[in-house]
Amino acid sequence: MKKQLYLNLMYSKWIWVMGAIMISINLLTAFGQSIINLQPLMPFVNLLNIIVMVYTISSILNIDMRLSKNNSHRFLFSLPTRKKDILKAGFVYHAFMLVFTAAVFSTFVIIGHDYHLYYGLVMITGVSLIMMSIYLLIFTSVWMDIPYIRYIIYYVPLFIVYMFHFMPLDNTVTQNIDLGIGWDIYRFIFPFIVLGIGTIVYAASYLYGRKKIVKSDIV
Amino acid sequence: MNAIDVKGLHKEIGNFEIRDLSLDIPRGYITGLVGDNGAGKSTLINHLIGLLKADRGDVTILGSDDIERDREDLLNRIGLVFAEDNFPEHLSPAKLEKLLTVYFEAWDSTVYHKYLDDFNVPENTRIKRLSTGEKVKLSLAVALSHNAELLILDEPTSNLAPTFRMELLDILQELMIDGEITILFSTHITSDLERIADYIVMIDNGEILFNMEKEALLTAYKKVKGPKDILDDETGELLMGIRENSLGFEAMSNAPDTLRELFGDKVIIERLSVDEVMYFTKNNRRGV
Repeated sequence: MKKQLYLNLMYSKWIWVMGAIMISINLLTAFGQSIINLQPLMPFVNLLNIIVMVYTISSILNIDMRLSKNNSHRFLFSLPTRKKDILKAGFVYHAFMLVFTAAVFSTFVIIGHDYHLYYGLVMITGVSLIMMSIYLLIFTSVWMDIPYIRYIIYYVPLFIVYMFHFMPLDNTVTQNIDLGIGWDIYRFIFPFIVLGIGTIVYAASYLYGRKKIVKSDIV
Repeated sequence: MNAIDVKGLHKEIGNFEIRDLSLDIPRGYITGLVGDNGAGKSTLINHLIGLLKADRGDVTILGSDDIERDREDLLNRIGLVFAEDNFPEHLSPAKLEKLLTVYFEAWDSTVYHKYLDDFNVPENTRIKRLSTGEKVKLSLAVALSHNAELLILDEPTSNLAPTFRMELLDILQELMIDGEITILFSTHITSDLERIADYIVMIDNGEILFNMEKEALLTAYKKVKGPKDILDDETGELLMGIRENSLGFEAMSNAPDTLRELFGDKVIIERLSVDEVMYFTKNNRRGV
């Protein structure tokens, strides 16, 4: 698995660099806010954070796109490694990237945002675990085929969660809007349920995928 | 003992099918795999290296009968050259090596750089900017740099200049002298096989047509030329892949002595080339 993990890290080096730069910018912004007025720059910094976190949370898709170029996956997957290790590395790598995304997000929160946004992060993380499970299970059958369908399967639910949980969460909390207990459950408790389901689905998908991947064709 | 044993391999890919294919590749020799485009050479090779999984059948390679279980170990011991360029183009040969040292247990950096130097492949140029020939040479350098026991070369010489082709064939022959290495070499350029192959396997439409020692093949089968008037049901049974022209006929036969006895100087018996063996075998298969 270490070999495949090395390949994943090598192919996503620029995403890690981007994330590290974003963390640095956020920390500098947090420090600089106490000295000078950085409000005019905040929309730009916020947008940058979103873009970086989209890349960090979907880094595996980016790696797959690069592997597919020139059909280089044929060469790379014929290097000495087991199919199960290729899959395991995918699951482990995505888990790393979720933690990394959380790190970027944490520095984003400290530059003038409230801690309620963490509920949004929990929700997005849970959905990401579920959708990546589906993405990687499809991968065990088709490998690099049907890439755009796989990308849509991953991105669309995340976008829906962003629009219908993260944004309403932020808007209703910052504007102090009380919509009743149902909304409170949806905003603050439901994310943890989704995270719990996501974790179980992720683990189960990995165990099932291990058996499936050895029966499929790579090319 | 064989390096590769295939028994009853069956695989369906779209409209193409490999049916009940059996094959053995002896250890310590060079085996040439010949066949037309689309005959199944690359498909067969992909099964040997675990890129394809057979629907049925057994494949034993370097003593392992479970490619999935032993994949990592087997691919460490196999050197591969693909027919198409599938390198990660954004890397240079030098950066590619960083990846390869992680994957191959017996990676030999000195040998790799020596081959790159001998083959005149620029180390720090992105693979995207290398010529087709340079990419093939890089592929060969990679295959030859991790002490492989088995080399599987899928059309390695197709895009090479004739001078380098001869050099490569010399390198392969030297490898046979130096160590216990087995080479499976798929190619269209049958003159290369005539020069270095010990065994020749012909595949057509997913089936093995013959698998024989080269000298035995070219000794057992001869080209027969003669007048059309000697062609009848009896002689037809002694001839394969008959081709008629204005001067008479040409065919392949594994009973040239019988034909000589029957027809004397009326027939001309000649040694076949590997190309001609393929041609007449295919004609015979088509019922020509």
